[in-house]
Amino acid sequence: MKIRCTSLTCALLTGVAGFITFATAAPAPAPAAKSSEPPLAKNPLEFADLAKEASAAFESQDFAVAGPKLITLAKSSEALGLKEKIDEVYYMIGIANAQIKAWAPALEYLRKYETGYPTGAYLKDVAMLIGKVLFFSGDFKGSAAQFEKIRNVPELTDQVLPLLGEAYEKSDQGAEAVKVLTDFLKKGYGSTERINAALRLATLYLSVDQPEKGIEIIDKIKNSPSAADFVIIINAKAQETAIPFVESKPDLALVALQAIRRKSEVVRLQEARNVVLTNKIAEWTRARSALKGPAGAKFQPLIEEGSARLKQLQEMLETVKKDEGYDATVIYQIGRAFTKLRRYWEAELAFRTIGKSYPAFANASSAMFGQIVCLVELKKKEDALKLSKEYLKAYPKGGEVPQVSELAVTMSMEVNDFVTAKATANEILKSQPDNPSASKLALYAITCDFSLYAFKDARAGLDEYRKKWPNDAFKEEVDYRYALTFFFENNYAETIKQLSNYISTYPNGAYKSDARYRLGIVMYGEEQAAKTKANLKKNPEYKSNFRRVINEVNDVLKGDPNTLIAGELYALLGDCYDQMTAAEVTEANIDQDQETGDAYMHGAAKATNDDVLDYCMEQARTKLQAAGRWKEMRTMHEEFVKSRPTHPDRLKAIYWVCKARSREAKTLEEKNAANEYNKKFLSEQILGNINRSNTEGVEMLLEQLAQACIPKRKPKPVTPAAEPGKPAPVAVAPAPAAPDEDPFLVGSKELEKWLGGSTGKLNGTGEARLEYAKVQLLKMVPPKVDPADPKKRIDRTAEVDKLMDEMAQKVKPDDLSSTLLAFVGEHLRKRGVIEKATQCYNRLMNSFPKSDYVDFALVGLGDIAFEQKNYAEAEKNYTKAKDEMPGMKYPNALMGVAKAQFMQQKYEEVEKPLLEIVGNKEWKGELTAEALYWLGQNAFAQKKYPEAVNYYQRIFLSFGKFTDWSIKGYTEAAETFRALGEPDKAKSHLQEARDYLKKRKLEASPAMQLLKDKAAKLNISLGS
Amino acid sequence: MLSISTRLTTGLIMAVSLISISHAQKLFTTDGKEIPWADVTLQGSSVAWRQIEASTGKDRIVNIPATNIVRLDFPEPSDLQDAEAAINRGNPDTALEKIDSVIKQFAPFKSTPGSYWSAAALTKLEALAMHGTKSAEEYDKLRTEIKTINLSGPAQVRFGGIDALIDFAKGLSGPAKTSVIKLIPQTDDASVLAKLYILLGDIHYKLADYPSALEAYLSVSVFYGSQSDQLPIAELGAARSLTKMDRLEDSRDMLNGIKERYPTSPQAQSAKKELDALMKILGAATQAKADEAEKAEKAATEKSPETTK
Repeated sequence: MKIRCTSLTCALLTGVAGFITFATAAPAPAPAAKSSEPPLAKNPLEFADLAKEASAAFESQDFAVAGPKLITLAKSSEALGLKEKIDEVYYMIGIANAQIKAWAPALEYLRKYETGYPTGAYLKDVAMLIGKVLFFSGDFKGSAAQFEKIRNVPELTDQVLPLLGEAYEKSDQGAEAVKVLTDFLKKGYGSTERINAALRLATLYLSVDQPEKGIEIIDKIKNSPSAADFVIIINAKAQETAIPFVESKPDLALVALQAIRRKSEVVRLQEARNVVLTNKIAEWTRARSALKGPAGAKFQPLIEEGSARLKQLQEMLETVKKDEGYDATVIYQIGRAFTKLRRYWEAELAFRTIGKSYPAFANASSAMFGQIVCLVELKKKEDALKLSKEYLKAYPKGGEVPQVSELAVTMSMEVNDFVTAKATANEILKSQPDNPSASKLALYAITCDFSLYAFKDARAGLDEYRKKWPNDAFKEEVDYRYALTFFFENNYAETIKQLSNYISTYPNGAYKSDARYRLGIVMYGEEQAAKTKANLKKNPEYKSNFRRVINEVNDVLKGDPNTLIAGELYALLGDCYDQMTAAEVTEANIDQDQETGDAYMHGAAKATNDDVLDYCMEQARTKLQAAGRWKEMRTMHEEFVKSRPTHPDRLKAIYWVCKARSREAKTLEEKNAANEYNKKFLSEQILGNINRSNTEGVEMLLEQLAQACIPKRKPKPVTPAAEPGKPAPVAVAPAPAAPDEDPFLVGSKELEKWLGGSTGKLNGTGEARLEYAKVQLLKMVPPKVDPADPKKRIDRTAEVDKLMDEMAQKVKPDDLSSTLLAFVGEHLRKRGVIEKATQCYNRLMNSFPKSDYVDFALVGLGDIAFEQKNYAEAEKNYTKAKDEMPGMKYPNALMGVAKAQFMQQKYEEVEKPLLEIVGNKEWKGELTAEALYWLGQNAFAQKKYPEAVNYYQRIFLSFGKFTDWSIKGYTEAAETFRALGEPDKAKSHLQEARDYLKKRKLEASPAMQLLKDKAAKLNISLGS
Repeated sequence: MLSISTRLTTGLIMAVSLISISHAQKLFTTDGKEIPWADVTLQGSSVAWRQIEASTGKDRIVNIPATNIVRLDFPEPSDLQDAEAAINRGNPDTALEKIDSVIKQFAPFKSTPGSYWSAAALTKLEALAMHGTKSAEEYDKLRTEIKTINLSGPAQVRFGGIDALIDFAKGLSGPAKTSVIKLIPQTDDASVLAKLYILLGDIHYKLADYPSALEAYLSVSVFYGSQSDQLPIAELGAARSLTKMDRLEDSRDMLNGIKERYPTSPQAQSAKKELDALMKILGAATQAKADEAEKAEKAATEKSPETTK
């Protein structure tokens, strides 16, 4: 008897294997089905019938019937000796009984096949099925051993390895499971089964304390298209993996955290996958109904398992949906990981996002603290301070209050916010009296009192300090500061007492020189008061006694020549000499200006802080300039340049060196020599800085160099005096320049020569600066001679514009210094090259935030926004320029604010900035005319016609030289009169405007067109 | 905190191993028929369904208008995946080589649920956009074709992003910036958002607004780190922005990080070159700083301690 293993059967084998796998995956394995075996066949005929029945039952997938019948068939074949194709029967017994979970007979006959038919056709499938039966019957060790035997069979390996891995896993052989799954994943992650195996492997790695490998896997699978079914699981797994390692292995944790998608995306993707699964279940359900009997029944387990899985996914989805802190948790942990990795830019963004988007997040205060730490690390101290204050306000009982408080104190002091610093320090002292830094904080608070001129509070603080820490390391400082409180209160009597007391208590004290300096100031104050009281106008002979201060100061300097306050002492000396009355000067027999200037010069040389330095330099410059002491002036600045190579005012000092050298020169030869020397010196100094865009002041020197490069006027011929008895010599003139040589071209060549324009030494910044120097040169040289009429001069404005155009086109914003960004940006904006102008302004604001030119950028960006009719943005920029960065563009910022507000119909606010412009005499000019125009517009818009007329008339009455504004004044006044119902006045104003233009021969100007347009609009004839 | 337990996810992983939501590769008709993809041939705007006559066993062809197909069930074509990956690696030419077959395969079902036509067309459009104005004509043609179908939300955002990319390539930085800023809140798709933030970074960078550029680039690392291919691109943009902001040491650290984290990426090569240039500047600056510090120290040791007020 032959049982055919038809293609249908063979196909079923795979299905059965899958079916078993699926069916037994249910939580609790069903008990083995009871088989009731039919009686043995007694003869070949019965055997044939039995075979037929068993085969039919098997083919129709009625395994409950087929299983027992096939066993009986096998037993009968042995009894009857009919063993042909019995191997196939054994295999079918295995299949059918496995299907009904009759594990023992299934295994028994499969083993019979395995041992009895080592070269059988179904050996591989049988071996596979044995493994599965062992697995699903709970014998994981046996299953693993079985799968091991066949793991390298090529056609089985992809099926075997995941099961083998799982068998090892379930038999507590994690290491083996890892090996097997790793082997399985060598071919990649390109299927759902592989992604599933990968996730199991990742889980295993975590369980054997190898998170890095687990995370590596998550990183690899996160974007695999096959991972779509697992998005919510990958997210959960990544989070579960990452969080425990954020502190200890932040690099690994970050990789896992970065694999996590945001909540809305996960929900969207998972909902879509759930729809797919729902559709599948519906499909299986339809198939179950369509296929009658066992064929349809095979879909039941699929439906059950699919439904169970869908339920679990839906539960997970609901959990995610309900988790309000889902994204915040991930972002917070990302911030922590980046912080641990010292990637503060990223961390700051993560923490900032928590504060901005998830303020209710449980760890929001810690996130804010994290952000503060990042800002400090990024040296953004002002931002850190601002946020510290916000923290203390928002979380007064937050876990990080002590750290934030101390940060806030020190940072507040750094930015001179002593009120906050003091309040914060006192708050900590109050809330944490045992703080280990209490004495330090108390001193901070006292320092703040000094800075706030709260000397009584300072004294109280110092008294308190003495009580609490009477003999600590700061005792001397505390005593000295106590004395100083009286000094700063101008309580001279107590100052003298306290400082004298300090000097006697600490004869070699660290502040002895300072104490004597303060006493000197008290004495100086007394002399000043006496001098004022004496009233020099009434009593010009009054003899002051500043020499007693001078003697005291000199004594301090003699005793402590290296004192750090030498600058202050010399400054006091200078003040004393400067304030001496004539009688004292006479008695002292000194050159007062000389002594004063000398003292300040010494002060400048010795100063250790910028305030004293600036004061001494400024005072010395005034004295030296007035006395024509140009040599000393030069020397002082040369010393400055030499001794302070990195000082921000270094280039300013170079400017003075050159200026002084020019002024030192007396004769033409000396002047020429000085000029030549200056060109060389300036070019050397410029070349040292010309390529560095962040060095301020280079442009000032370039202008000076450009000026030095202007060809000097030809001196008149000089006729030497005739020597007695000899014929008069011929007049000698220096070799003249070629008559048609343009001074600009000559100067340009000079600039090129000194700055090495063609030598390749200049980078983009240097080249741009050279161009700038040429523009400045062009602005300085005299007008060109008209070739047609040598008596006429041609204005160079057009030439300057052309040169600027060329320069602006050529340069790159990234190469430019702050000055050039402002200069070029403005030119480009006026020329309508908006994108490049925007680049210049953005770079100016962002790269040079403390430059004096920042308001150029803000006003420029405001102008661009205004031109693009984005008035709110324009107002924002103008307001920032006006309020936060007031500088050279302040009047323009005022004008911009007013115009932007007007366009947004904020009429009530428009007047104030415009009146500020009109009221400022220093700005009187075209800007005032424009302000009057807008005041008129504003009044007109509010129907305040008489007021509007008044403003318009003021334009042409007071600013008639500005043609365009004047015509606007006339025409708008005319329109306002029309609104007032006074057409005659409207007409007279337009006619007056016509005459104005005629008188200036501007009949063909745009202004005339404007006038005509208005006349047409108002239906008024201009006449002739 | 996420409250899904380990046990639950592990259990689910096991469960998943047993069911694969494999795609049936079928077409579903308006009258409920399920047609295996293997049995159809595309013929213009209809499909030819090859059937076996039950009575004769012979083949017969039934023509079904494409409009009668209501749903497709088909796995994501590997060519589409490859083309997407090529784009993410900045290689539009490879993407273009791969994508046409997918566009052709799904052409009769442009708007049919389950169709990959719009995804493939957008991929091609993006690849063409990456060519800048070089492929303008083809770009315009495809763009017009895509506009005729209803795109899903994320696809619409992607479409807008590609438009912004082209605007940017044409030098229209202002309008491109406005578009991208409007698009970002309209999607939660990490792959689209990562690209949009990089484009926004590029636009800000072009406009010399480096802090804004930095912020945009960093958003990719912080919020869309799942998009591994985009990370080196974004980080290189961030490093360049830092250089422009004169945060040279920070830029150096960022460039070093790119080299270490993405050693085989093209960005790692760029990072290496930029690092060499940066180190020259940093070396000079560090020396100047050291000289200054030495000078200050020397001056300080020459003088005795004092307090001034």
